[in-house]
Amino acid sequence: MPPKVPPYIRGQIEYFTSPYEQRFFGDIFDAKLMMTKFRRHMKHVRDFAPGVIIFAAVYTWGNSTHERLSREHRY
Amino acid sequence: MRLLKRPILSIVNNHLIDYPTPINIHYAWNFGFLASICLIIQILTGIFLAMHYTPHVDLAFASIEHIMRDVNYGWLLRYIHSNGASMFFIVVYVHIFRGLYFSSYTKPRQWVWVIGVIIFLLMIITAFIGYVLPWGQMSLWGATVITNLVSAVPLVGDSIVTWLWGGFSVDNATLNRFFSLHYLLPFIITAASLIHLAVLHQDGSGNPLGIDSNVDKISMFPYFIYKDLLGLLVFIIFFSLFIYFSPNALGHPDNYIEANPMVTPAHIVPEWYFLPFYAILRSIPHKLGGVVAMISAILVLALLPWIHGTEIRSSRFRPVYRFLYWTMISCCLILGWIGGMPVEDPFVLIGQIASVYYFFYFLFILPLLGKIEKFLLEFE
Repeated sequence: MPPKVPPYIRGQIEYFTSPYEQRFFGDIFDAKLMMTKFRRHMKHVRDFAPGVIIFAAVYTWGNSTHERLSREHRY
Repeated sequence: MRLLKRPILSIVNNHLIDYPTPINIHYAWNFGFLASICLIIQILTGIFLAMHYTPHVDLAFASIEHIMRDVNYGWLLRYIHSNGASMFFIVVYVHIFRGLYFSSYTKPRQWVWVIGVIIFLLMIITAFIGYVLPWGQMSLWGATVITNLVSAVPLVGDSIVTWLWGGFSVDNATLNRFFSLHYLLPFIITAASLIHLAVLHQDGSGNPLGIDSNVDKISMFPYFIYKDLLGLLVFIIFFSLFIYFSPNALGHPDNYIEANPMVTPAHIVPEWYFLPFYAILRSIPHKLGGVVAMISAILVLALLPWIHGTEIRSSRFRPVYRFLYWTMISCCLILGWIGGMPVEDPFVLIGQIASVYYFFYFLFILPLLGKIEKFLLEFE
């Protein structure tokens, strides 16, 4: 096994910002960044949307088919 | 502080204060800490509940009602403990799925993962045993169904079941020993959790990029201690919504009927966190086959470090795997839904297809996908 390299630990730097300069919510509501943030989140939707669609489709089909098979008039 | 350099306190310093942590870990890394908090909550509330509970078939149900109505803040203790079990499983499932997404189980953290699977198994046993203690209809009949599965073991199955029950059915002897084991097992989980943490701290935490983070680490305190506390605050708010506004939402109403061995409930189902495994069990129309499949569904997780098919860890750099990961999540949700449904068409077929896909994902997709990705990269 190769020898372990000790981790590099950053020194802690403390700084203080005047309450008159800092903003409470930072850039959460920054209008210019909104589209950038929207595009970042939409990339993830492409990944999980198929899974959600599959689940929703199977769930809906399964429940409606079960309901149809449970009643007297099956067709 | 020189105090933190003393022999025993230096352990606290080295593992919780000055401990080097990757700078880029995000909130998905909070759930290990939340799981330990859930364990502490369950142990503390459990100890106080045990002071008022009676483990006898004629008195157990009434003692729970005594706790709810007469013991000061007994209702709070009971609801924290029952909903706490659900919270514990939510937190642990998120923790496991984080591990699957970022391939946290790969070398050098494979043994952290295996110990985690052992902790998960211990949790399942503890939760199952704990659910028997209120002695409601679901307690008795859920215990009867699951303990009867052991009789599927060839040759000695029936003898093992009789030994487990302490008699010829789930009765007073079973309840008494389940109470004893339910008190014991959380301390074994605690010991396993400490080993889990110690083995993790040999190589340090992973990170969302899946790369070596030794180039840039910061101390645990104050950054990740405060991040964990913020996560804890959000968790407590979520937990409180269940305790104070909807304490029975995650439970089954049949468990408010005292256990009656002469009346079988129409639909015997376990608690929600067992439903996917229950669906896999019922998908196989063979008793032993179903039991083996159910146990394999958990044990297959322990194989992951050795069947992971690529050197790339994080899904950040694996778009094909990301898509398939979410199909696996939807498969688990489908299995959970099917586990709560009666064994009728088309739920049987859906459960069987979902069970096959679950094993197909872990045993074929995960090992082979790495090779496909490598081919696609070289092809481009």
